[in-house]
Amino acid sequence: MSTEETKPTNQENLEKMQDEIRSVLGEIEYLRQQIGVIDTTITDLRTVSETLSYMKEKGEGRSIYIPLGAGVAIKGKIESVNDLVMDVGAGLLVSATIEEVKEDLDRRINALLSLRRALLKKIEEDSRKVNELIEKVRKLGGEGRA
Amino acid sequence: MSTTDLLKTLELRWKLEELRRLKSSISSTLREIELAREYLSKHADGRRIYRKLGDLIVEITREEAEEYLENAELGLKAQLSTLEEEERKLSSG
Repeated sequence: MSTEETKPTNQENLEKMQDEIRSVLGEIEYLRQQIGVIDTTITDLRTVSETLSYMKEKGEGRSIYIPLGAGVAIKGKIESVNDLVMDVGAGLLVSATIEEVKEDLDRRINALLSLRRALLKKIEEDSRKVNELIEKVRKLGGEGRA
Repeated sequence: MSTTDLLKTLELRWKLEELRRLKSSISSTLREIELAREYLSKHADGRRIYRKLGDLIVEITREEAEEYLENAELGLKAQLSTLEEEERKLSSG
């Protein structure tokens, strides 16, 4: 088989690069969605942390409505602001103080922020790759017309 | 390739994908069990431990927690090996 027969044509190269661009753009979209999920989780964690700070300061003995689900809540009273339970995964929870829970929340927020930074970096790399590919496609397109 | 063969190939691929998704989900749960066990051994001294039973939160002893994790792990590992066996059969057949 001669080299000329195996060498891809400009059109084939162009199609290959266009496929690659589509694939990288798909990855960027996926990474953006993941960042959206991370941002929502971070917001939730921060809200819980702020609620705990408020409870620590003003919660003891306070009447509250405890959500039961489906938009229904029942009146209750906070007996102790320092008696909390914290999910440790696999369906288990352990007792913890406000400070311990807040520390745990901070750890989780920091881990998510670091993951977010890594994803943003990957998006930057991918965007650079897309720009390079677009440039190559333009050149190939120009050669094809010449 | 005939339409029937093509359909069979697609069905096989779909089954394999489904199986791998299940395997990955079980592996994540096993990792979660490992982390929970690590937490219990490092930080649970003097703490009360609870187990979620549906929406209920029930206090359990540390021994009960360890036993629960052990049983959950054994069950999941058995499921995982069944799935791996099934995957082998599908891949070779």
